[in-house]
Amino acid sequence: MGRLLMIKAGLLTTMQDLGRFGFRKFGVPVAGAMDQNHAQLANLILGNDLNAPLLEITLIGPELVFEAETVVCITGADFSPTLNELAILPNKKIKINQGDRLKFNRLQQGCRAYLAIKNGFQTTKVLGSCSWCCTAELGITPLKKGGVLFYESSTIFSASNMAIRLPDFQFNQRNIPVMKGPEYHKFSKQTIQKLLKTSYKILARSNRMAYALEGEPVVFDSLEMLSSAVQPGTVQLPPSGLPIVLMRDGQTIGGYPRIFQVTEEGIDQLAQLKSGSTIQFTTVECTPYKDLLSLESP
Amino acid sequence: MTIRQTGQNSLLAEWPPIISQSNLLAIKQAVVLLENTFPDGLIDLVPAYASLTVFFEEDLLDAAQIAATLKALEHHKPTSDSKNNHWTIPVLFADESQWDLTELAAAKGLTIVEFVKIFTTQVYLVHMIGFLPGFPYLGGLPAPLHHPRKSVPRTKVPKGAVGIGGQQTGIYPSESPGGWNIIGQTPINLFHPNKELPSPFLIGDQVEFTQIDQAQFQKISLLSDQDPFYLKPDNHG
Repeated sequence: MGRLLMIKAGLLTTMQDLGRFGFRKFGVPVAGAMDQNHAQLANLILGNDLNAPLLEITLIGPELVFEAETVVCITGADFSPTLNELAILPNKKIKINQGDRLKFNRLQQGCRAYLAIKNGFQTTKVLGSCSWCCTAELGITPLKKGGVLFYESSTIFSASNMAIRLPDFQFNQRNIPVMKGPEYHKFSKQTIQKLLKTSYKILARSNRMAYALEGEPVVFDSLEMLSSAVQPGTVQLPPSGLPIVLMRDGQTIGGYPRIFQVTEEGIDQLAQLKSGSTIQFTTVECTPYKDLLSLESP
Repeated sequence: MTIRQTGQNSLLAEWPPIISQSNLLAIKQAVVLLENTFPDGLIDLVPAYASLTVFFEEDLLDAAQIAATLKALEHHKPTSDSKNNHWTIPVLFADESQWDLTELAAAKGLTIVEFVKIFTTQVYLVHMIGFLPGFPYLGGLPAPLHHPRKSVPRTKVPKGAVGIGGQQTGIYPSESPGGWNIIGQTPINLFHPNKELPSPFLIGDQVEFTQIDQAQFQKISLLSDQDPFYLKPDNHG
């Protein structure tokens, strides 16, 4: 078994997979990689299961030493990583030798990077997932300086080693695509228009649970509703008139009107935006969105 | 019932927007029907007071298929024959002054003894679980005990706290910020991430509360910490 030593832990370096499913009826958040697109890409490049546990690295990256041979891949935010002080490329298999030192440096672009390792990190599952969840405190706690992770050492390294580029992922994408949420129709046209015209700033208290936004609040008649399910990407409109976007660690049930639903692609985009960034919601006509009541029974 | 797609792989079925036993029965029936009809392809079913959200695998199921199955339910009157557990939850009602029992009883014109008697005589129903992992939202709070949430939520409500929020009651399975009026505390652990079913409660389950004293609280607390299966259903008949 290989060991990975944390020389520096970084700001928030957590174990993630694609999430914890089947337990939302017990109030357990889904969690999982904030930017699922890049998390899957890292595992895909290594030929891993797409759900293999990997590290999510946020804003300030770690410094790591590998005690055994393996292969890794880095995707997502650009921390200008170096291996033994030499620059390495993202979206590419990287051969690791015993004693190699991997350092994440200054963040150049994006907010979250992923470090996948051949065959995934060896870690325990809680409720079917290795993902750390900040709200439910499930999974192994965020990494600390001096901590150790385990992996199977691997000496297999194939030569097909082209860097893959993601053609359609834009870091710093300010326009966040949204579909209509369940309470969308209960708001006036003016309220919706105002929400779509406003530029919002992502507040510093935003985290894996939710993104809090600052901007000009909308004024609307309060809407009484019974608590109902919410999901990652749900845009809630509390009485303050400032929308909140739930992210991967968000609760399962909420009582505020769900005005929009950010698309899966939109959640990944948000995951790569730092606090202080500005965003604007933009509606997309999502073909599957329709009132299914009008469907004829067979 | 209205059914709408709410995400790329989710749909939402809604019943009349009230907290009622008939909604609970209908939603429970919908859950059972979907689980039986689609053994594969359902990711999560999230029941709430008057809604059921279905998360499904896009590759295996489509929304119209699920909607058609749910629609067929509309012609059936919900029955109450599905299997539900009955749980008795021990609660220490002693009011440490930082909680709300004394104040709440006074606001309701009741003595603490009267308040506790009304609270523990009722059988409650689990309508949904959420807010925190394993937090049961219980319906059936007698009207004399209804009380609005606190205007300023507490930053720290202890694990096991039993609270009243409006016409509902519930139990905090872990320490958390919270706005409900705290009337007591159970020593039972209600969320076990290492068990196959992390929470004992399912929607439709019946819950009763029974009063315990400080000595019993300590004893049950130890037992519950040692044995994740300490709490067992006490189903009548």
